[in-house]
Amino acid sequence: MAKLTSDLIRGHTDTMVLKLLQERDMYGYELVKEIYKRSNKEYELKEVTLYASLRRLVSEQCVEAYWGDETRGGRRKYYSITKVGLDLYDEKRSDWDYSKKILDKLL
Amino acid sequence: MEKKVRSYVDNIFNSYEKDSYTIDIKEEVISNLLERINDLVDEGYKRVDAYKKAIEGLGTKEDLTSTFNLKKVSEYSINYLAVLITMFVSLVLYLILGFVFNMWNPGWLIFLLGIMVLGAIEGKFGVIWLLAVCIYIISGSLYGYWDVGLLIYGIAAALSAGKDQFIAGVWLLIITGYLALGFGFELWHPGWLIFVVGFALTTIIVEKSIIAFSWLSAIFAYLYIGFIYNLWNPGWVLFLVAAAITVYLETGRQKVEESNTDE
Repeated sequence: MAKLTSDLIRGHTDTMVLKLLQERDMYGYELVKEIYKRSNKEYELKEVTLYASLRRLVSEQCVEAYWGDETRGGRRKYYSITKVGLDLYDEKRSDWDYSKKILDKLL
Repeated sequence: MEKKVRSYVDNIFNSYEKDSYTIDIKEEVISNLLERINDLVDEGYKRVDAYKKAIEGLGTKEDLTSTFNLKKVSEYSINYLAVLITMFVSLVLYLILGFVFNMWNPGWLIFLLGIMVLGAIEGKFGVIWLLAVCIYIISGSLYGYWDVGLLIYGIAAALSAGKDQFIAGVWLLIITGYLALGFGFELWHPGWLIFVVGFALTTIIVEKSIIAFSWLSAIFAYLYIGFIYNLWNPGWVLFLVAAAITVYLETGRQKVEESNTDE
C-alpha cells in the first residue's frame, strides 16, 4: 500500500479501535489481527501505532485496561470501552460520514 | 522463544527508568509479540521467520520509546558520580582498616561491599546480594566463618533465580558440593571456585552466551598455575582479566545486536 494511503487510514486508528471494542474486550495483538482481517489483509497496523492510540484513549478515559488471568505464557492486557468512548465513537463516526460526503463531491 | 523476545524488549527499554509503568508496558509488548509469533507458527512460518516478522510488525525502537514517553535514565552524570564516590569511600575505608587496624585481609571486602551497594542503588542486582555480602563480612569477622560463609553467595544466587527452579536447583547442588569439599576433604580452597563455575554455567544456560566461557577458562588457568606452580596469589588476577574481557565482549555483543535489529 502506498505510504499516503496508509497514513490516511492510520489517522482513524482511534475510531477503529473504538468500533472493535464495542463488540468485546480485546487485547493488543487481537486488535491488530482483527483490523488486518477486516481490511481483507490490505491494511496492517504497526503495533506501536496501536499502543499510541490506546494510550491516548486511556488517558481520555475512553477505554479502560485490565490484565487477563491467563496462567500460561504472557498475560494479556485487555481493553474495554467506556461510556465516554462510546460517545467519542459516535462523534468521530458522524464526523467521518460528513467529511466523506463532502470529499465525494470534491474529489 | 520467550527468552529471545524478552531480551529483545528488555534491550529496547534498558536505558529507561525501570518503574512499574515501564514494566507494565514491557509485559504488554512481550505478551502481544508472543501471541503473534504463535499465530505465525500456526500458519506455517518457521520460528525464526515468525520472530522476525513479529518484530517488524512492532514498529521501530524510537517510535516505541517515544510513544510511551518514557523517562530516560540519565546514565552518565549519575553513574560516574556514584562510581567515583563509591570507589573513593571504599579506598579510604580500606586504607584506614589496613593502616590503623592492620586489617588488610578481610578489609579488601570493602570493595566488594562497595560494588554491591552501587549495584543495589542502580537496580542492577537485587538487595539480596547486598545482604549476602553484609552477612558474609559479619559472620567472617565475628566468628571467622570466612570459608563456610561463602555458601551465602550460593544461597543468594539460588534466591535470585526466583521462579527458575532448574537454576535454583543447580545452585543448591553447588552449595552442597562446596560444603562436601570443605567439611569432607578440607578443600575450602580451591573448593570455593565451584561458585565461579556455577556462575559461569548458569550464565551459559540462561543467557545462552559463550561469554561465560571466559570465566571457565579463567578458572582452569587459575587451578593450573595454582596447583602446578603454587601461584595462587598473583593468580587471582586472572579473574580481573576475565571480568574485563566479559565487559568488553558484552558491549561488543550489544552493539552487534543493535545494528542487526536496525536493518
